[in-house]
Amino acid sequence: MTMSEFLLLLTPLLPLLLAAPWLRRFIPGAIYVAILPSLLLLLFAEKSVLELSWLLLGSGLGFAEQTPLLLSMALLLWLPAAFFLSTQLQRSDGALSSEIINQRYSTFFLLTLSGYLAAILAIDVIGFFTFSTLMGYSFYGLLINGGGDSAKRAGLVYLCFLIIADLLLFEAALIAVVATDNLSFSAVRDANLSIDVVRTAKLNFAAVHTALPTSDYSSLYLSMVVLGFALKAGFWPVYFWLPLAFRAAAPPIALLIGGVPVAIALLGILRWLPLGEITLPLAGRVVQFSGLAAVLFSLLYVLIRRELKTLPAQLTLMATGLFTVALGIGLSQPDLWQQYGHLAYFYIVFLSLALALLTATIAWRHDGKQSADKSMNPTEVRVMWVERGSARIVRRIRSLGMETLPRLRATSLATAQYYLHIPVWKKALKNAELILQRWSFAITLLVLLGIVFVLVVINKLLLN
Amino acid sequence: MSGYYELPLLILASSMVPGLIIFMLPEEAVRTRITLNMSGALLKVILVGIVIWGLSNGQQYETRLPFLPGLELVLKADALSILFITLSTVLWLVTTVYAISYLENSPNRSRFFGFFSLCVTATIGIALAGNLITFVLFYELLTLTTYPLIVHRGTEEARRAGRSYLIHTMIGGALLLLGTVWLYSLTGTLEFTHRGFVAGLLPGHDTSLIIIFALLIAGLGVKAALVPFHSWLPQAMVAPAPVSALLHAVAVVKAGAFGIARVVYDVYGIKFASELGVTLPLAILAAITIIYGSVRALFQDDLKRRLAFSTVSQVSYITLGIALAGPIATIGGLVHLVHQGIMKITLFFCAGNLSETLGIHKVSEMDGVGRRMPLTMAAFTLGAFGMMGAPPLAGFISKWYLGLGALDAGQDWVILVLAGSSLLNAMYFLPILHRAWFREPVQEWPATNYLWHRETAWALLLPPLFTALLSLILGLLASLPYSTLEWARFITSLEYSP
Repeated sequence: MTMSEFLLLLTPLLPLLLAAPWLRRFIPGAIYVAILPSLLLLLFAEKSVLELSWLLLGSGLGFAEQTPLLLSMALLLWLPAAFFLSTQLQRSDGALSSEIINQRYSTFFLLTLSGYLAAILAIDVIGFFTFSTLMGYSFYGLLINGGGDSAKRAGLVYLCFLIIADLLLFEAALIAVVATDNLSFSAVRDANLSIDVVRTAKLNFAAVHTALPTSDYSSLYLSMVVLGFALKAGFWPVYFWLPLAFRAAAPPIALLIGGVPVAIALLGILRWLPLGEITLPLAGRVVQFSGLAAVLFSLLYVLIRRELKTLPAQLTLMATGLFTVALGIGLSQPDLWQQYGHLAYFYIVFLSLALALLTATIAWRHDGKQSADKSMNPTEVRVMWVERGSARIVRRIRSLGMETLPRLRATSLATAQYYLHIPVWKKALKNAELILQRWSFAITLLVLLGIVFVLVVINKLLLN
Repeated sequence: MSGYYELPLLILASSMVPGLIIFMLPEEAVRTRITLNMSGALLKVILVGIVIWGLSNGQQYETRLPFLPGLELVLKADALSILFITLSTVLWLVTTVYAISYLENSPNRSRFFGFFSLCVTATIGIALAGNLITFVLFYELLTLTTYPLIVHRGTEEARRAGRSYLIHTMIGGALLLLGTVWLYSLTGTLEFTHRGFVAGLLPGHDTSLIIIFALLIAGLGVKAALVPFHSWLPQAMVAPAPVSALLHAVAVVKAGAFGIARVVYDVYGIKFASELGVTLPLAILAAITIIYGSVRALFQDDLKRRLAFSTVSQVSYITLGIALAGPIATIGGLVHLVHQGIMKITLFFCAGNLSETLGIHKVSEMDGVGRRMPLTMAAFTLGAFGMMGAPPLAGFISKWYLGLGALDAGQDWVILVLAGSSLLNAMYFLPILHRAWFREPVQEWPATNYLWHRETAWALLLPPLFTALLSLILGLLASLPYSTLEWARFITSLEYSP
């Protein structure tokens, strides 16, 4: 193993190890020490790839053309954040609860750092997905640790978006395998299967970029990737977690929002999509339009809501909107992306650092005090939003029905509203379960008969 | 008869003999009981290790005993059985360590550990069965040996759960036996064969074969907790935590899922079953179970009950993988047979620790418990994330192959089922983690009185930590030789290669 390869491995591994609280006891200033390998990597590493065939389904880490730029961003972002965090930890009152919260801050900070650095160095789809997932869930911990109701609400919304985004990206990765024929599906279908055929080759970004432009699945893949990362980055119109997070996060954590979840999501788009190699004029125009709408929306947002703490969120919306416009242009005119696409990396770095600087300035002006908690209604958080939203819609229609339609129609709507409440369904399911238990023998035979009947019918149909 | 005639019998005896001796021990003979339990479990690990080594070097292990005219009891170690035996053996060892500590002060320990050992003997018998009649015999033995474990506490609730279990499994057993006898009357053989012994043997008997398939699957589906045969499983969670671990991860539900694999692969053969049109309805039934189990889990406040419904859902991933009738889905299903067991046993061990140490039984009582029991909750966190299919844990590997398998088999709708299930998994696991780690405790926990201020007894703490670590390693190092994934690939290549 060369020194570059060793540093590639150590860069995400050290923060991951130091996330264990018992290990941190032996290493003073662990959150600074954890950043050290990335500095060494930046200074001494050469262009190289570390193959980790034993990891997951075969993965790897690489030091590529843009890595120095991204590592510089990481250092400029994480060092001040670590400084802010350690200052905050020193300020704690020494009570047991504060001590626990501090320990957790350090753990989640280091886990997020590990996932972040590994995502930057990832050379394949599964690796990037894994590391960004680690980063995302750890960042959720950072966001809500020690916070009040507003932090919990921000965390909840962020978590919902994260889960849906991960599901979409998981599906996109599956599509990438099919598109690249990475599992040699054709060989499998021809029954020439052997262990070696089924062994997954790595889903390298390069392989995905080569295969996707000619694949039938390219539009589906594009939609899933863009939507998945849009949820993670808080693009318009799926931005809801972003202002909540900026408002509720503790200052050292708010500093990281633009540079960690947002920047890695933008990086994900650049890495996962074969930009400059694929031409999708219609999709490109849709993406461009959505970017322009985002810019306009964020301008209105700035004018209407003059709240200093959400200013970074509004600017993030605007910046990601501009990024989306560029992405749309890249999709419809790949030759332009080939010429100017590399600037996107600079844009991500600039955006991360500018947002961090702005957040730090605001935090300094507010002296780290969180004022948003007071404005929250604590009982509101406990009601599920699905229930609340659907009930509100039905109530609105019902009142409309009362005024304009016969009484019968209004009563039906009232019944619909009743059935939209979750306890009703809970009760119904419980009763169904009881019936199943009491009549298990009869139901078993009945179902069996049903299954046999269906199978016989299917078989007859197949034979005909 | 091969030169390695005795080894399958020895593997069975390594748990059966200690079990029978333990029945005769007085309650106070704690040390003798522990020694017998542990030596039996360790001996089984060694014997299984020898078999794995031998199989990979081309040896064959088969025992044949006369049973009925024209029928033999056959115990045979093959690639598929080794997958199940290894899981059961390793997890039995871990569960034994856990159970010894968990039941330290409870009555009727000799009875408990006696049946505990017999239960594992029956499971190993199921895994080693070389024909359908041997399988049925051990399958019924498993029913009878598990019943006393479920009613062990002797409460009215436990007896009710036991009754429900017995009724369900006896009906299942009867259906399985009926299917087996019918099949024997048609084919004259019940010997498990790669790519099935039914295929090509019975032209023109399609309707009979479909009915037999339905009978066999219904019989096995009871233990595999397929909807609507599942209701015994959530009821059985009244049993002590080690029994729950045994039911959900090592023995009972796994025996059902393993049986389905045997019927599809080695009785009918995957190609023939697919041509017969029986695999798609099975896949649909599995998909319904996956979603139904997850939805039901969502509404449970009782922690073990939530985990039980989660098992209903998760075990059907195995059936789904088998029923998709493609090599890649098969890999996913087989891998999940092992991965689900390891992740679910971790969760049940943790639930047991919470109940035994702090008296916590409900999710609503778990606020801030991560502060009092950080290692237990760390293990629980890994298990829960694994169940959700988050990378790099073991559950991710299963879902990855199931998803790819669905696309390969042209069953794109399965992707939606998997996505929906993952979402529901997140919805019922993440609130538990949030409560445990981020909420303030509502009550003062009892102070720790263990050596070095540990959160609980060593024997309760180490098993979940070990299995949680295992679920991480199995995901992280999935591509290493001899990993579950590699073994599943090997089995699949045997089943599908021309």
